[in-house]
Amino acid sequence: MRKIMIVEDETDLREMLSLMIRKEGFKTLTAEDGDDFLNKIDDFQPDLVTLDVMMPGLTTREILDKLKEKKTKPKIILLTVVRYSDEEKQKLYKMGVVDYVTKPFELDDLTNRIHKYLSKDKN
Amino acid sequence: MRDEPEVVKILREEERTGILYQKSSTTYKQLDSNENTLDTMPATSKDYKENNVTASFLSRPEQSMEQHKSYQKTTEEQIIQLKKLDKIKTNFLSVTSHELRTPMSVIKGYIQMMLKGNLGTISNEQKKALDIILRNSNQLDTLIQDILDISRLESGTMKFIPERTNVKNMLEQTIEIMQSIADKKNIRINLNLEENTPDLIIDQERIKQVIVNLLNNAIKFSYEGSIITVFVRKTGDYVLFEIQDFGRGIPRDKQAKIFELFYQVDLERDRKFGGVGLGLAVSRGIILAHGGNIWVESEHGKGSTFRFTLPVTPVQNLEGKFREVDIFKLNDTQ
Repeated sequence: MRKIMIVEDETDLREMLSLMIRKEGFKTLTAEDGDDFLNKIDDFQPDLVTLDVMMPGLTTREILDKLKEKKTKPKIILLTVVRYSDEEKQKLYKMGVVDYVTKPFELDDLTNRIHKYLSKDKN
Repeated sequence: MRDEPEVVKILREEERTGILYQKSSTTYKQLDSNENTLDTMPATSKDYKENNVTASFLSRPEQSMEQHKSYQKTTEEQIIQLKKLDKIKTNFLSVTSHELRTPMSVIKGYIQMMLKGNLGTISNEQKKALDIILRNSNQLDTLIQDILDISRLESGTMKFIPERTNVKNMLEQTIEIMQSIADKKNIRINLNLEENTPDLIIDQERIKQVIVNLLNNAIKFSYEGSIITVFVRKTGDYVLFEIQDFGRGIPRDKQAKIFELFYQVDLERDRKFGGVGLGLAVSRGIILAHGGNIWVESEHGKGSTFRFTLPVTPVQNLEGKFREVDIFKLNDTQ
């Protein structure tokens, strides 16, 4: 079973996302901030991570930098309230980010993307 | 005193007598001590608008310099105070909107899961109730989004990401989404696009937002079973977009006003249709920033055609341009 980690500081949103992704047939683990995520990642070894970009503690850039030192190299979908220019997108893509969804997002939009990136793997 | 407001500078340099005060956002009036009008002048300078001085100001030659300075100080303090308040208001809107959106995501997420049957089978009655909750949640979400956009418009912090855009693809995607809403009133949305329409360098998401807004209005005010048509063609250096409906129309005297913030043509009736009059003001800001224009032609009872233009050669520095757009000033709309 494919594994997905949900990194989100808002408890209710985190639980909702986790439930929604489990219902799509994935195994999930949640983390409430960047440190929590980096501590858990190598034990859980997720195939994909949904990462909120506005959390207390580590910034997104710091999280992505520290992720380089980890064994696990998951695909990352950012959950963001801001939009990125092409230049910013290219930078993010180099750091493991495969896509981003802008909040407030539609459930189907996020789950469709998750399916898209995880089914590509099989080929 | 190099940084004194423009009003004070003029008074000092010209030694005008009487009270000068701002009559409206477009004119200043000069009065004598008996309040007879001596002069009316247009407030065309940028400083007038920025300072937005509403205080009366006394400047008679016989006045002492101390008095003069004290008035000047009061005006400056008031300006600083007004600017401070304006900033607090904008920040307040921005922060609260962000805080409102997280709970909305949670609410909508669970409703969508229930509707999909993810949390167990639901009855028809439950489905009907959930559909209504979701529709209302979406309305709230749009309102929050509009408030956030307005605060960005006001503070000049809206972010634009221009990219090469195929107009036909953009419109087809947008119309497909809107058609599902139009279906509920049995309304058909047609696209009539001239073949030689060039690609445009625009912020696609923002322009889509404008089209969604205009189509939403068209659907809202159209009669059941009618047709809405989106016409697109190149005209000179611009691409012209037209959204034509056969709804109730807008009275002539109200056609310019509808682009004002919080304006509703008919308060009683518009309540029923939802919306608080933010969408068109936001749309106007986005189009002007792109170097285009937006206006409406309508005949009461026969329908409306909203038109907007986008330049074929994109404006440089969209965000800079955007900061110059004054959403409260409507004179530059056709």
